[in-house]
Amino acid sequence: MKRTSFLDLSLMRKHSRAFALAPLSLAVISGCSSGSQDEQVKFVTSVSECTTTTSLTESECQAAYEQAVLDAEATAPRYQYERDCLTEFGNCERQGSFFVPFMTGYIVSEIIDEVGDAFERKHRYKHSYPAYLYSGSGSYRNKIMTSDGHVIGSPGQRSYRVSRDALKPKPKVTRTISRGGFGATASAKSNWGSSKSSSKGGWGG
Amino acid sequence: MLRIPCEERPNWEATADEFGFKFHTLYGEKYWDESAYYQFTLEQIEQGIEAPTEEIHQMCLAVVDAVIQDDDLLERFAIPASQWAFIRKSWQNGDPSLYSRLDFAYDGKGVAKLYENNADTPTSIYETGFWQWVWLENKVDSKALNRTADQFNSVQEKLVNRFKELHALNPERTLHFACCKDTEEDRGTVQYLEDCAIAAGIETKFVYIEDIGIDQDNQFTDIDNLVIQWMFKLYPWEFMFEDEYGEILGKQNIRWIEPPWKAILSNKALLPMLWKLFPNHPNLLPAFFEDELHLVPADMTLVKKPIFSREGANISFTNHLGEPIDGDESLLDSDGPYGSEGYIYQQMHVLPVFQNNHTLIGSWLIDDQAAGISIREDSQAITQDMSRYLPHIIL
Repeated sequence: MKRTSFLDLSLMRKHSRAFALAPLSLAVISGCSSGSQDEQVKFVTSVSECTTTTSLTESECQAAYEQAVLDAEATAPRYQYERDCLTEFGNCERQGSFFVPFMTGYIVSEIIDEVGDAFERKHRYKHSYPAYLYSGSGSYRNKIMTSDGHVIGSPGQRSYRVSRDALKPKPKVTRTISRGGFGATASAKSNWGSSKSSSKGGWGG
Repeated sequence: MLRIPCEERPNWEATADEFGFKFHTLYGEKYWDESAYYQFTLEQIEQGIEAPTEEIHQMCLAVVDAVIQDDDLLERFAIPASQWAFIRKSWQNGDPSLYSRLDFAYDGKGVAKLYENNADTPTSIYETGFWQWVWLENKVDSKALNRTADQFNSVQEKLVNRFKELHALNPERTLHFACCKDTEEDRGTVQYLEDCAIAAGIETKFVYIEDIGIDQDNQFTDIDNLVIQWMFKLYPWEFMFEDEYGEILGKQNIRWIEPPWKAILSNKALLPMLWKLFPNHPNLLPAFFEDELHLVPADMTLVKKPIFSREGANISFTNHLGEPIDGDESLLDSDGPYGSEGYIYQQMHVLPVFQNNHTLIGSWLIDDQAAGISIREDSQAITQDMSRYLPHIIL
């Protein structure tokens, strides 16, 4: 057979699919996606809580905290208006020209460093990400959430099982200083003459 | 190879609507045309199209390898010197490609002749990989076509597999898909490729080309200020080079689909280079740079193509000296916005005619594998962007 043997048509239907993207913070609230393995993490609100509830040393807990703070600067959900941020997270601060939620705590996962001395195995943090308490309406209210909207669970549990997807590095959010530097050449070509008026106007070939 | 008129599926427009195929009719004229289909034999497909497609692709890669090392040739390809390092690096790194489409004149009897290579921003892949596949399923289900009817079309399967390979190379990155605003066709094409990437497990996001921004470190950003680290762009490299942000290309940690070295393949200067490296290859038409016209035999009619021409724009017919041919109404020149970058010349080779239609075959490659064909028909000899798309079968 020279053709694709099977296509899952249900994946190709577009009736319910909109081209427009939802706002960032809601677009990615997807929960755990199927198929990927889970990992155990802890949610801590301070370095001292980290040292008492995990096997990590104080300096590892401090390093994990600093990593989470750094990560928050790059990945925290950003809002143009403070009220929008407050609606979803309750406590917000200004960061540059945006508003971002206060980091409620951080989630850490541990790994035993086998590379070192076999008799003195060290616990190190594998992941450390900022976490926020969602306080908007709906079923995610009062749940712990990562920067990109993965829901970890309700506060107060000893540990949480989360999907590997939730622990992937988060996309970096930055500050855009200009827009519109691409597209002018296409626009100049499509303004050419009149015959393009009957064309589809795309730039494919 | 036959053109066989047939009944349209009674409900096909509703099916198109269901699957979000929005550009089947454009400005009141048919683009998707299922009032006929083309029928091939397996031998015509495998020997006539599939084998030459993969061979020519390898020949094209040899051209890239020759051009990329040679400043004079890069100049002939009208690629700005400021972009040479960027393009060279992508070739030396072995940046992977996703897809291309080779356009052939083929009538089922003779040898397929290469018209050009759309290696950077080919479109009509949704119609090919998905929509004509659905057409065949429906036709077979309704017993209008024999159950043994096949199609040269593993495009979608190969696309998803290719995206899986690319995902393994970029496991942590989100893939941004981009095209220009105000074009339903390009938006639909990009949506289809995004669907295939999602099926391969890739995290995706969409951004319009015009909405791309930069931060203070010259990183490209999307409309939500996320840093773009991996991008599919349905927007030609030569336009990006000309645009304002062209001068900062290469300063980002970003993977591109198609990669920058495709700027050499999607360029009409590829055609005379292929003829130089592989003279008299049966699937090639003689082709020449402007300063090589003295090599053209006196009885040869030429087609003059701008180096950056797209969708049949600004193409004209000339004699062996490159002088325009007047008065022959069957050879209709086309207008367009290209040409200031220079021209190349290719031997005129008319498209085969089936029931008064000029028929062009697009042969798709996913990476380096021939994956299927698309058929475009036009009432005129130069296939332009309003040509109709027809399905095909193998029987």
